[in-house]
Amino acid sequence: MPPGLHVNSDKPKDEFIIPLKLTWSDGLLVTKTVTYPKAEEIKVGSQDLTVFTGNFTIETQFEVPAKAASGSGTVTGKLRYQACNNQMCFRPVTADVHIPVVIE
Amino acid sequence: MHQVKLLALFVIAGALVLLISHPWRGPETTRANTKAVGDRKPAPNFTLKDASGASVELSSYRGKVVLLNFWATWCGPCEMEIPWFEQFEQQYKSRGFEVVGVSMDDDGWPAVKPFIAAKKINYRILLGNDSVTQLYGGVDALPTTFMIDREGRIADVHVGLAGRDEYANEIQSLLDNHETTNSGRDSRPVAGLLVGATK
Repeated sequence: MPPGLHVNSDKPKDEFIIPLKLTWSDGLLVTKTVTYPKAEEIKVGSQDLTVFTGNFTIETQFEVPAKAASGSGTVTGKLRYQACNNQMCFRPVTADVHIPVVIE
Repeated sequence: MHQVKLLALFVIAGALVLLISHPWRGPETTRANTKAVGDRKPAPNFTLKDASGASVELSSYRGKVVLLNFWATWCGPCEMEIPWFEQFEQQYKSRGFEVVGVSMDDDGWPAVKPFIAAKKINYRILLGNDSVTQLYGGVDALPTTFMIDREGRIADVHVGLAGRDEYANEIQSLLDNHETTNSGRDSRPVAGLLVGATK
């Protein structure tokens, strides 16, 4: 994240806040777990927020179906996020994610 | 079944490409100067529905000073301004002032109505859409607030969180402003004209 900006964490404290969410399309691989990093706690005005800033990593563990064919392919997913700074917020975004994989 | 621990190292610095591809504004709040009367453009008219389902047209507010606030339930800085707007609505309504909030929540009334109830919002909330934001030049960041004078013209615009006193001063100024003369000359007191001239 650029300096000064944050995205909401995957577990916001307020029900109205839009969480960070990474989802994968099942097909080539089966998603087992998606693990988010530990969030920072910040305060914007009177609001207590849990956020991610700077560089951070979301880790996904996949499983290869038994009948999967060997070869290369692409795992696709969607990353939904909503970013703010201390003065303003930007519209939520759902971005497409593509990761090339090789099954051996 | 093979277990493959595919470590998808999702470094968000890389995902910044995705983030940066969307339009950003810098972290600084854009502080607007009050436009001279002759420089004010008409606020584009629109019709949106309020929480009761009634259609509301902006032009119906002609004759009043309007604080038109684009916001969303998920916007922290927006939430900070709401108590101020509630106070303004109460304090200035009798003088011909109203706050109109336009929610940009994609989830619609199911998200907005509980928020209105929880925050006890005392001013009218409309459900916005991209067509309306395009009329206003595109609203990339929230809150974005337009100060509209009694003649339906945009006197100020604030992108991002603004100060309470700044809003109050502008509301007071617009409520106090005299109507322009038929010649189009500003008929404000001389002191006000001098202030306007230096901007």
